[in-house]
Amino acid sequence: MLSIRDLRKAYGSRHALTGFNLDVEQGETVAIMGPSGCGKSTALKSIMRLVQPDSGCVEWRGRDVLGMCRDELRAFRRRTGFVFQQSNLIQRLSVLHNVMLPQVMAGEPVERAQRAAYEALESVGMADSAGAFVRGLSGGEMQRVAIARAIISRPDLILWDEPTSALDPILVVDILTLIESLSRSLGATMLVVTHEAGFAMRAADRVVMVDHGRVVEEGSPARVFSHPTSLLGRRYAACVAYSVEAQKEKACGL
Amino acid sequence: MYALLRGGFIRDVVAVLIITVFAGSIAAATVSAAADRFFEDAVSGIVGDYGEYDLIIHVRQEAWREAIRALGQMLRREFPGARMKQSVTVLSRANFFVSLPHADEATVTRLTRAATEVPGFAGYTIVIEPKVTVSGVGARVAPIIRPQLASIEGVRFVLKDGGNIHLVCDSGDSARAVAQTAETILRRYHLVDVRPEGDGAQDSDRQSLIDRVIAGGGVASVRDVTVDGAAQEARELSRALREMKRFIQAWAPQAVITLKDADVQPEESLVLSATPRRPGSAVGDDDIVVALTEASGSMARGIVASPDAYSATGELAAYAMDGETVGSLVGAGRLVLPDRELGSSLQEASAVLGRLGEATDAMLEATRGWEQALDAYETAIDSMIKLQRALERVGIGAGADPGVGTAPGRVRIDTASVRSLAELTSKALVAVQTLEATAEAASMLTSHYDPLLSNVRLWQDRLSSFSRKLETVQSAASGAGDVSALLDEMSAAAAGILSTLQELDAAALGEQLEAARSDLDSLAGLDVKGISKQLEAVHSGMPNFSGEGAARSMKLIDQFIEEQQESSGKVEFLIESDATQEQLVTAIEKAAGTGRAVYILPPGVVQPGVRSEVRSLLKSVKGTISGLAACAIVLVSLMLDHSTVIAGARAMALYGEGASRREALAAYGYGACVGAFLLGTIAVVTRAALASMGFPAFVLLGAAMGLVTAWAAPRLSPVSAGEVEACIALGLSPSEMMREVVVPAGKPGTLSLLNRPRLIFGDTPSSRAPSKGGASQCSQYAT
Repeated sequence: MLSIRDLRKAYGSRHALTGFNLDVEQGETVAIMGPSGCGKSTALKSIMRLVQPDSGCVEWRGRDVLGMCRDELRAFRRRTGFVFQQSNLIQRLSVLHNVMLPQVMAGEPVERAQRAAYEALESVGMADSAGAFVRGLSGGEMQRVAIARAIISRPDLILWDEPTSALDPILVVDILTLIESLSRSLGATMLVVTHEAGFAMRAADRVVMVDHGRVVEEGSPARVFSHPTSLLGRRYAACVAYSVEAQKEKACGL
Repeated sequence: MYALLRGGFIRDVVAVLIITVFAGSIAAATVSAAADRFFEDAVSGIVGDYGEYDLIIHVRQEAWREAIRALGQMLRREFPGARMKQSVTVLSRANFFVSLPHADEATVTRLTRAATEVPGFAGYTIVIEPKVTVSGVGARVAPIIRPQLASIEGVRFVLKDGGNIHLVCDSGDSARAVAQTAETILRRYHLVDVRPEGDGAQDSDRQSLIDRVIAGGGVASVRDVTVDGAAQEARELSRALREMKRFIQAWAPQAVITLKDADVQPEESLVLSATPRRPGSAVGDDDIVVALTEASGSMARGIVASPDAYSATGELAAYAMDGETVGSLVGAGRLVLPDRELGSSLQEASAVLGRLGEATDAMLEATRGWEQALDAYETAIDSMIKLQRALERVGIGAGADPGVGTAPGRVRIDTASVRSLAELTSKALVAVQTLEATAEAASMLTSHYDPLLSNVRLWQDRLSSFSRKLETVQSAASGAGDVSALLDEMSAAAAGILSTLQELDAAALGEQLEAARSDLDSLAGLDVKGISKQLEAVHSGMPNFSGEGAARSMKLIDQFIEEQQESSGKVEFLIESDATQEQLVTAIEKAAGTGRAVYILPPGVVQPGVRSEVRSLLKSVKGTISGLAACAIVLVSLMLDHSTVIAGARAMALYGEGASRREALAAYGYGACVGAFLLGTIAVVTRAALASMGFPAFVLLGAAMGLVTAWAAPRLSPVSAGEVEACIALGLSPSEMMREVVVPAGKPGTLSLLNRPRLIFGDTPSSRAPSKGGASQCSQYAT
């Protein structure tokens, strides 16, 4: 469904992507993990052409995204959801209008957009705050609204760029839980950039390890975290083992 | 930026530009018009309405109270009907506006002169309207061009005020024509300044320079109009003082000294004394001090310096003067007192004139006597002839007849004949004596009658001699005696007298007498009394030269003349010519030769009137205010509207919307173009001007303002990069992003105002207090 081939991107002398390759099947939830600055967000934004890669190929359903014209690209973006690390809600708009925005801009009638917005807010548990202004929301609430905005048009592809990095640990669980439920309910193809191994283990169909701008390991969460083949995989595996051990010890009262 | 403008947002931008130009032009024009009106009202309040006042009198600020009183009195007294108004004080000068009921040349001139008597007077300005002023007219140029300017049609009268010539016009309509005609007149003339360059020689021979210029051709006339200013006046004063010195030298008491083996110099002093003096003794009160003015060889001459009164006469001993003491003997001197001599001569002339009338009458009488004398002369000749015959009859004389009955030694005398002859001789003698006296008197006045006088004296001598001999004959005739020898002498004398008388040209003498009478008639017509009075006046008007004062005066005169500076050597000519300036420079440089610089200036410049100048100034002020307002309006528009556009475009460029760095540079280009367009257009519409900046300068300034705005846009109109990124990710077009996200979040300007009705999602400012729950309204749809 989504095919990324030899994606490269350099910011001056810093090479963010050095031949990123990834294939994602339809409906698959892929967790992209790796240290900070390894190119995860760049790869994700390159798919949306929020960053212009220097070379490579991105195909979505057989169509070259990097070669799309302006209108095609806009249409692709409307059908693709993107959840940012910082939510990036429109401050002057209310929660409802933030969620309605992409639908209305896409030409949808306002009533329909409003209905869809309410449904989306419902699905993220923010329907009661539809009339509220964004500034008064908490980080988790804002991220929920951002999620609702991303899923309102029922996209086939949803890209999540570290959706919980800016949240406190309590909210992280909420959001990750929401993402997990959406992954099951929406049936969309999802690429989730995350540092949360637990989420990856529970919600992801596949884990992709990225280091120095390219994929160093990928596989099922169980395999990657139990039998990592890459150094990065081993380090993540160690973190997971540590967490599991810690939970066990806690459960045993140690 | 390209994507933003391509996507339809260009219409929004154009609309903003049009509204900005329109509203900005109106605003700038309104501001400048209001300022202009304010200043014009202020000026009218200060200088009055057009033609309201004729003269502004400036007075030192500290004397304004006295000035206002004195000025009011003066106007009431000498200019009835005149009005006065006190105006503002500028630069420590209080100003008074004066309006005359009827302004003409004489009245205004009289007013300017009277104004100088006002306490604290510090000048005046002529503000009669309408008028045309020709300024920069040199003192010697003015007499040449003023008559021509005064004869221009439409000129009511002319006023000269320093270097300005004011042409007061009949009406405001004629002022323009007068100005043009004046310019035409001035263009015919060129004021040429020739001066030595560096160490170049001064050209004192101006006339030869003029001749060379004229010889060069192409000029109608050349006039020397050099004004040396104070130097010229000083030269003229020096000339006058030199004449004064010469006068003093001629008429002051003087001394002439004959030197004996002594060497003296002018400027030294000598002592003259009637008594011998010992060297080393003090100069006494009776000594005469002489300040030498000349010393050459053995002669010296000087002015008597002291004392004022001196009675010494004759030769005086001359001693050198050593400070205040007498020095060695240097020679002998005598006093020459020309003023006293003149006085005496004048007195004598006056006396002579007083007697002239009597003398004239006597001479007229004498001419009558002369006529009688001529008659007597004729009679005398006859008598002499008779006598001669009588003598011949008695055998005496050359024609005597020897056969006549005479005995040797015995003479028969006809006593009657002798007696009548004696009477004739006596009459002739009296007539000749009278004639002599008259001719003698006339010869005092003129030498015209000297020949007559000498002839008359000769007659007189001979007649006297003859008369004496006749007396002898008469006495001899009464008695006996041998008088033959005497009679022979008488005969010879008679023959001689007769010969002399016959030699006399009686006709010529008659003519001379006639001429003398005519002269005497003229003399009699003289106003002798008047001439006497004049002579007395001259005598009484003669300066009383005290020697000391005369010497000191001469010294001061010499000192003054020495101190006078030479002129700068600059010469100025007024040339009438149709040649161009370049042609004239070439011609005059050729005539003047090397070492001289030639400058050509107009003889005067036609200036607009005070009010026109003020209007012109206000116009430039208006243009400046308009320019400043335009700059402010454009700056505000750039900051409020276009900074938002530029900031949004630059934010979009970061996220690949338009996706190349050219987009960021395009934002700078947009700023420059918008700024140039706005400022240039508003400047043209409002006729703005800033320090002589023209349209191109406004365009450049606008572009610069736009570039600065583009550079500062992210700070002026911060745009949330995250919101832009989100909008891009959501598939919004650049125009949609601008309208819904960037512009509403930007500064409240024209763009924001125009955008507001077009918002899909209504105005929901993020600064409001958050409210949870409740539906927020979409601008077009209610929930």
